[in-house]
Amino acid sequence: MNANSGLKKLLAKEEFVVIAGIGIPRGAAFKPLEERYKLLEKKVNAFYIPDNPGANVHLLGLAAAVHLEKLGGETVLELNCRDRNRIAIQSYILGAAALGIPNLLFSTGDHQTLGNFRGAKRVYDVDLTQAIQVARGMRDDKKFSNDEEVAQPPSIFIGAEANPFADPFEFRAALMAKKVEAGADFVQTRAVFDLKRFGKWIKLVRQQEPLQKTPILAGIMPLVSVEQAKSLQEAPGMIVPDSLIQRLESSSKPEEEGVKIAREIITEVKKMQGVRGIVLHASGMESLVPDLIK
Amino acid sequence: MITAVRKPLNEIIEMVVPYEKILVTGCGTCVTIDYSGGAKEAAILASQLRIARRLGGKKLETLEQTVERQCEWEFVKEFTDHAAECQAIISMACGAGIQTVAAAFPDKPVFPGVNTRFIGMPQKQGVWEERCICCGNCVLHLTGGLCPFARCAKTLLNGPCEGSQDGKCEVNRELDCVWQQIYDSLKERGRLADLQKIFPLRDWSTGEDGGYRITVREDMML
Repeated sequence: MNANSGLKKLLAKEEFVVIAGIGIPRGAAFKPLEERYKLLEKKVNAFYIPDNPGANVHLLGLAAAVHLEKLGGETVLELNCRDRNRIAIQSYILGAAALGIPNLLFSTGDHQTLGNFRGAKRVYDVDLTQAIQVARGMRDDKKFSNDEEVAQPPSIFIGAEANPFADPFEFRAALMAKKVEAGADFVQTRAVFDLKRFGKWIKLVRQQEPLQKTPILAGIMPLVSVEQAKSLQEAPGMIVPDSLIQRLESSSKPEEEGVKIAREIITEVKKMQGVRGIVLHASGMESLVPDLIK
Repeated sequence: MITAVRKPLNEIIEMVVPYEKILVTGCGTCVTIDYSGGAKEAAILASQLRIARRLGGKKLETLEQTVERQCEWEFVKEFTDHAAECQAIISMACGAGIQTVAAAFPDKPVFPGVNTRFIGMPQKQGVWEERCICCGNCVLHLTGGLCPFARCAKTLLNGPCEGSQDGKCEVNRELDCVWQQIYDSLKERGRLADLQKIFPLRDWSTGEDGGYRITVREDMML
């Protein structure tokens, strides 16, 4: 069974898309996932399933995605290059497509030393651009990366992770163009807090010829406390302006203020050319999502 | 050069507990230059081991000998006389040297005195940095003379990951992001267009992933 992507259809219809990241359990049961799903059911267009985020062990993303699809939620399944070589990546693509997962989001993956399994051996056999190229080749050319034929090509909608807040900044739009040239159908960004920087990136992206039609899904993460915001400020590849932290500090209800900030960011990114939807990075904060997207 | 660091003293003390006379061997090439396993370091280790043993109320005799390179049969043969007198050998050479000594003296237990770290260079006095992972298929002409395999924690070939920030690596803010450096280097040379090309999947089998490597040069054989 190869599913058709509802996400692809919505983007083709020029509809603004809302995807919610969902917290993946760290145990051998779907119950916590179901509880989170119920909070978001029918409120979002699709669910983003992170792939062992933070380089920590979670329930297999593919299993979580299959379960959510059974419950009726469309999924965007992340596949990182940290944990799998080209054999496993291609096998995973076939398996995901056969199980009816319509959208795959390719990422590099947080380095293993950033998580709680610091001694793990690295993979990174293929990089993000190459992984996308391999996926596109399997789908469109019916070829594995070694040119052998794929018996039944996977019908998948291919996403790429992008980070406007990482450096070298001037290279970030060109890097996105590489990912799109490789075969990415859409791009999902890390959480936007610095609107000025995001706007500058969008401007650079608009200058890249191959990116004129690429849908960008902007990452949105609610700030819920000063501590969380400060730790995000320290996290690699994130920019959280001090002005936002000051707003949380001076509020008596930082969580409400954080939701307000996120809604303001959503309003602003919606106005930007090329931004065709949002991805709520709200793992473990699913209860805030309905408020965020009111 | 191949760089190494001395193993912690307690670890070495533990290894040689059963022996009363040991040969401590230094290597005169890479590990001499990086101050981890040359003649001087062999003498220091031997002395530390004797002192530690004496503090425990027991006796340890040591012999010390350093040869030009422990990774060649011709040189390790020079240990033959001293080895015959001792019950065990500590090699302070890199992993290649230690294995050559172990193979040359199969009747003696051979212990590593250093941990071999990487192929690199002294960036400044007292600081060594990794430069090469011996991938067997060099791309340095394409990447501004900076190795994305040795110096990128994710061995990426098509540009930086999403964690590179302010010129630093996501793994450790003390480390430079080599992709920032490659970008700067190619920009300076007016070659940024090179980075737009998608590098295809790599054949890692020319490196350690292809099984242990043997180079055969028939033109050099006797």
